Amino acid sequence: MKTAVHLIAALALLLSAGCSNRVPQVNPCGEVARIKPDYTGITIPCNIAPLNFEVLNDADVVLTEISFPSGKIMTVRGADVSFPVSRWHALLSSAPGDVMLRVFVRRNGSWTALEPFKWHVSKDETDPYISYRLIEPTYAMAGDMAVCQRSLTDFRWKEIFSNKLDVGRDARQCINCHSYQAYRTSNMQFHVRQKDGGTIIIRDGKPVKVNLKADGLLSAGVYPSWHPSEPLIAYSLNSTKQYFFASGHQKAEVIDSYSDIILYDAESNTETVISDDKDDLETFPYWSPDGRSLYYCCASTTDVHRTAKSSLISGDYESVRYDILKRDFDISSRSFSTPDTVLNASALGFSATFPRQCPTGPYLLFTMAPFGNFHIWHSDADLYLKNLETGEVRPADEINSEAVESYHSWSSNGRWVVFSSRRDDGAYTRLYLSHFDGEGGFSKPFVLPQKSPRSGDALFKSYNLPEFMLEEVPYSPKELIRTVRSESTTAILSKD
Amino acid sequence: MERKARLCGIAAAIAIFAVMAYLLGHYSDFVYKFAALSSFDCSWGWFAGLWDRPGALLLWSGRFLTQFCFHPWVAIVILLSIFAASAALAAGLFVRDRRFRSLALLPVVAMLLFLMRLGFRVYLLKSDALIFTQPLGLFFSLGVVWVLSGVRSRRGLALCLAALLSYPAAGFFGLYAILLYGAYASVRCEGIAGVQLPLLSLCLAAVVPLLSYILLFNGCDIRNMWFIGLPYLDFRLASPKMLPLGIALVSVFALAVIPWKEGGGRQLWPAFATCALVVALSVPSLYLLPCRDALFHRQLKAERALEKGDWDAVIRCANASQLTGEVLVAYRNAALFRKGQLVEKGFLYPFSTVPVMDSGEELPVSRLAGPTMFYYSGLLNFAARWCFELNLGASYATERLKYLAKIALIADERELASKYISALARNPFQKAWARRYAACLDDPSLLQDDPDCKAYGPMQDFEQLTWIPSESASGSIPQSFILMSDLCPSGNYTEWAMAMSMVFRVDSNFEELYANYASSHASVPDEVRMARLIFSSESKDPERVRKVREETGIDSPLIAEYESFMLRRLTDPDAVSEGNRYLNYYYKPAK
Repeated sequence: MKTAVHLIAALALLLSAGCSNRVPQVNPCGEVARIKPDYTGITIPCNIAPLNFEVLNDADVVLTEISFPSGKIMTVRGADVSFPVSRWHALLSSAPGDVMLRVFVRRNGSWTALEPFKWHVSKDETDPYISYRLIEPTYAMAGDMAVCQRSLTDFRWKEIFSNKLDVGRDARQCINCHSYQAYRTSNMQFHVRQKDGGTIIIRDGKPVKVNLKADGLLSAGVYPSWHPSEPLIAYSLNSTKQYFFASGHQKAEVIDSYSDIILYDAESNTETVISDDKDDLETFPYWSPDGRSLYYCCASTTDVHRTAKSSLISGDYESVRYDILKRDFDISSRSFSTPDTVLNASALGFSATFPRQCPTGPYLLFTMAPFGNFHIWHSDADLYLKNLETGEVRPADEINSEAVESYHSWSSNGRWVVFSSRRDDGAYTRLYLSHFDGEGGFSKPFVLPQKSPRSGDALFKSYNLPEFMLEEVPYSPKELIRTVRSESTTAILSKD
Repeated sequence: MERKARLCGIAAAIAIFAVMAYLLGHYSDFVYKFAALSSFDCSWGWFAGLWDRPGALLLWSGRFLTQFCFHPWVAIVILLSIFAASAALAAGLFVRDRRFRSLALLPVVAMLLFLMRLGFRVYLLKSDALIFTQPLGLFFSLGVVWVLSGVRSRRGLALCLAALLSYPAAGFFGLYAILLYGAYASVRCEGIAGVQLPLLSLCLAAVVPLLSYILLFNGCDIRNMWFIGLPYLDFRLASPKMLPLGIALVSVFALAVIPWKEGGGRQLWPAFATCALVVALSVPSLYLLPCRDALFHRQLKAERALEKGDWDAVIRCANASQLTGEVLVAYRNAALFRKGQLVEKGFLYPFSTVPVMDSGEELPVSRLAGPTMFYYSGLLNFAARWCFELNLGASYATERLKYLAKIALIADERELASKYISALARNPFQKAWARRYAACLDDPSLLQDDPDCKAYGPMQDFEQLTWIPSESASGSIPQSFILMSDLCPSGNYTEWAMAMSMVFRVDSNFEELYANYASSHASVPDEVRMARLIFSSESKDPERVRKVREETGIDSPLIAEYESFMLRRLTDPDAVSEGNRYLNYYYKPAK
């Protein structure tokens, strides 16, 4: 009996030694740690969700040592490195600085230290929530889609609205273009197309359904932008068609044949035209953070472009290029100035879209590609930054990749940007975050952290239209579906 | 007496199951299609992801079993075993008079008829794995009743527990089980329990979905909560397609509520009569009622032949009858292309097609076969687009994942291909396929040996873009290639553009297309040269006629043949419809 007890004790000791998380005393061998997602050398907000990752280097056993700025050390065994949320935050937020990561791999019984890497923890917090739409990469018919919100400080997510709530045999709804006023969710909007179509506008917590297609307007409102303080939403009106290509790396093209810009007053339910020049395609309105200017994109066009078929065949659509314009806005009289050109992209042989001004500095971030306005389909689309004081324009090379970078949003403190990129596989858009130093520089971007590092591989949806939020959307999909099913009120076009 | 009655029932069951097995075996391509259009992933994440609506366990099990349809006979054995077990359970639980137990065969016959009558709708199903989810659902419901029937005390509590557990697991069939037990209890339980339990089951069936909506599944449409698990997204519940399923479910219910006499009487003739009636109802129904649309079954056969690369079989399927569908024409052209005969033989076969009809409704061709049609025609972007379109609202079907993986591989989009191949590798039934193409990720040269890549790879070099409007995808293959003839394509697209220009007699840019074709082919087939001669003559452009004749050779037998034909055409117009040369085709009078 005694012998047996000794044997068991010895075995337990051996096993516990084998499972020890004690870091081996070996020096780095020059081999780079291959981790997925690539979180090496990045700057992260001090309130970000745990950066769980997977070590891809060949190994029998993997041991990762994480040294936090507070001096605390955590050791994780296994190729999947994941952190409990509460412990992560306790360790991370204690002191900004650098987190050092050392990965050790055991092969054939001997340990090797991979080259260490670090995370710089910035004291600049990110907004706690983000919202986005989950959709298939290519489609014309509406299928399962949802506008979702995700906590950036952990992995909680939920659907704001989903078309699964109104499922029928016939055509489903398309839901799109979620937008918030000044990062707050008490005033927000999204569109529902097709079945029970309309724009759901939530003002002071009360949702209503509005038909923005007033008589005399080109279409209902499409791309929205809430005024930062007033009950006003600028919309583009677009006559848009999507085309699919037989061969080549570009799979589809989306072309506007007509587009205008209007202003919707949510208080009076009236619309006024801001710009509807017949020779211009105006789109993507966006308010400056102070609400005193409205940016938008504008391309000069001809009838040839409008005949989409001939335009596509001849390749003329590749000559449609958008500039960034700005109109000053007088809040008291609610009147706009004549447009100023902020960026004459077409003169440079480019087309610029999605102008977004940093809330805390004179910087304008936008997307640019050789032509068109639907840059998610243009693999050469990149993000560019314009210094509005010096006029300097430069490609944001720190965050661009060889694949498409497109829609982007600034955090409310102007220190973080989230943007969509297809760099992972060329087809499925993923969200990347990057730190902005306030002086025109970005840090290496990192993909939105996920609980399981492999979950991105198994997700066959694209992230679309990422927007930062300071608070959760408080309405449940069940509450919103009642509004969606209700009768809409049609906006009135003001002739002033 | 009892033994004879039992033997009689067994004989009836054997006869019916033999017919069912024959039927499923005869239509094994149909069984196979269920697997091709379903998905399965053995990861925990995928399983967990199904629990956002009721019926997850049933769906998971159904999808798992549907993978056996890749080996149709294995699937048929499993399916018939489920049917046999369901019939045995229904008979044992409900039909107390042994002489009538063969009646329990009728629900499973109706269930099979429901499946076999789907026809073209099988391509459009949002409820994939229907072949197993519905039979399993019935079996599950009977199983729940069987378990509950063994409970002797606290039956109300057991029923509540069963409802709370079975609804999330099996959706509608969980509720059906509860109602079925209520019906069973109304007949079998004595005293107040015979009233209480049926009432309780009714209340539970009404309330549990509501509670589940509030507490668990708030991402669902509340109006559908009672039907999730049935193919309610595919058919109206009162549609003729749903009738056999309805009969199956109602007939089991009827068996449960009939107050059978325990053990039955002594006379034997009711047993024989019942068996005869069941066989007389089942066998002719199984023969007459399944979908017998020849176009549908030819399409299924052609798709399996395409997958195997058996081009002759594809052409045989397409040409098996004068009556052909757009999908079969597309498959036939793809097969001719893969045999290198598209230009020479494309015009020989009929191009006129009949629309695909189902229950008086014309079904959209692209949704029936968009990915397959476009993939085998080399229009890979269109194929990918239709894969995505069809994945919307349905699952990432194995067939479509394979197309997407191969399309990405051919386009050298390796990260993307890896994503699809990894998904296929998580399906235990697709591991070999995934392993084969995963090797191409590491060593792209291996792809050069892949026949699809050889055929379609060069087509992807065509830099100039062509298009189809998103809303008019059906019938767009010829249209796309005709448009390409305007753009003067290169590589294998020339083959297609030339063939479609000839078939549709399109001369808009023929000379340039011809020049491209001639420069990319060692020799130009006589039919193409004849087409050039005809197009130039019909253009009435003397300069073009002169040039073409000079290049063809003034003394060429081709010109002699053309001129002799035109002379004959003047005197004997009927001559034009005879013969299988392009001349005959071009001048054949339009009907």
